[in-house]
Amino acid sequence: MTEPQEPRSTTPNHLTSDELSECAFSPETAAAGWLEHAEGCAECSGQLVDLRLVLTQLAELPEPELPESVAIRLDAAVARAWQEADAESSAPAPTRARGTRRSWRKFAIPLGSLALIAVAVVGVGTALLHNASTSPGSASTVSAGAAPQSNGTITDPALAGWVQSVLPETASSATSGVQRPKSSSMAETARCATIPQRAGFTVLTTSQRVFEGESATLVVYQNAQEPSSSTVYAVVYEGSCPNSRSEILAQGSVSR
Amino acid sequence: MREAVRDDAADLECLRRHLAGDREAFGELLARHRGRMWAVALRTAGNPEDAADALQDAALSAFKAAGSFRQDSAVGTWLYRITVNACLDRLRRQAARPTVHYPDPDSAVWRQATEDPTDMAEQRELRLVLEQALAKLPADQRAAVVLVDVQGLPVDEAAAVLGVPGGTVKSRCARGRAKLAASLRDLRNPGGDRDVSVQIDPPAAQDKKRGAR
Repeated sequence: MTEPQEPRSTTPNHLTSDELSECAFSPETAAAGWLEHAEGCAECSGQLVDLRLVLTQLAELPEPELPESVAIRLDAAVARAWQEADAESSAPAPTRARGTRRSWRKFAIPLGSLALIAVAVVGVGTALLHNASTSPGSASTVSAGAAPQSNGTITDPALAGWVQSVLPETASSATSGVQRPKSSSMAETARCATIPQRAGFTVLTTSQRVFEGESATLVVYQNAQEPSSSTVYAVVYEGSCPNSRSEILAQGSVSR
Repeated sequence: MREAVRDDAADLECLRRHLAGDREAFGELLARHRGRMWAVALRTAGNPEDAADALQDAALSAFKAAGSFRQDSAVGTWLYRITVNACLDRLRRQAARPTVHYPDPDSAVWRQATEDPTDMAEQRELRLVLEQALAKLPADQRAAVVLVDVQGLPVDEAAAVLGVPGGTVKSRCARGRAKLAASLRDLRNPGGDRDVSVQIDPPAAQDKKRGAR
């Protein structure tokens, strides 16, 4: 029944942290009784002052500047996301939007260095890509980052089957990597003299067929230093006679 | 200072172009928001390394989720939400590990974040203590305080970002602010007993002193 007559009289119930916070943050919506209590209560008014200081200081914290390194990472992540989106849309579905891929290449040239970072981030930074990326055809190499799988291994059964069908017999390849490619597949592209070369790799065999509704050429590369390696690198280029500027439809490593 | 620059129509246009296959649209959207996303990530994650990882997670999530964006919030709010979630996800995954990061006062990012060149020493110390106290708050309280009190979002927008009711945002803020206030009290009154600390007007006195110099 006793009303607090004196300013410093102790009221039994101090304000809760929610109530104090409301009084400090938005006094206009705080219940009148709370503010009244705070005025008369030394402890609550002290806490209110502290809370107001916190709010002022928080609001005045400087806005941190985005570090350059983080900005570069973000750009690379977006570039990588596009590559993955392209790989997803091109791998299973034959309806690939050619137009968007062209515009990506246009986009890739000025941002080449960032895209290379993206390639490294994905972990497709194989020696092959690394070597190739320093060659003049880097624009098509960058779009080639749209590998079917980020780990660089071809898993599309249709594509893997194509690669296996053109590979020389496995039995002898372990002992001598210098296998003659199947003459039939070689003959298909024998007239094509512009097959892209990759630094550190030699062309093992080539094959031509319709891939995802388009004429395409498969080129299998093997490591020039380790021709007997069980891993070869397959690249599917657009067109029947690809050159270093040809679009890459798929690529990745294959075990033979 | 932190007025929410809402150019939502332009943001929506970026999203539309992105979904139509425009390679540069998402970068443009990100360029407009990443400063604020970074500010939220840095303070929600508590250290620059996790903040950078979370921001990258957030950018990729937004990239992929662009098609499912519904206009029940502003694009900026949506990006904040993705950023905060990316930070909280990272913190949750790290909860299994005993490592606790506190802002390193020697790191360039934190120096830059807590100082501005006009600061006086006492202000710098206050900010550092505040940032450290902020980093020690439970993640849900910290996220609420960062959004409402640092970034200046209205409570209902912060509620949309955090996916909780406004009342929950308020009470998380209240608990967080109370702890921050206690830390600043300890700074001003080292060794003092927090429970009976009765300081009516030190901030006002400090301000006057600073102003007079």
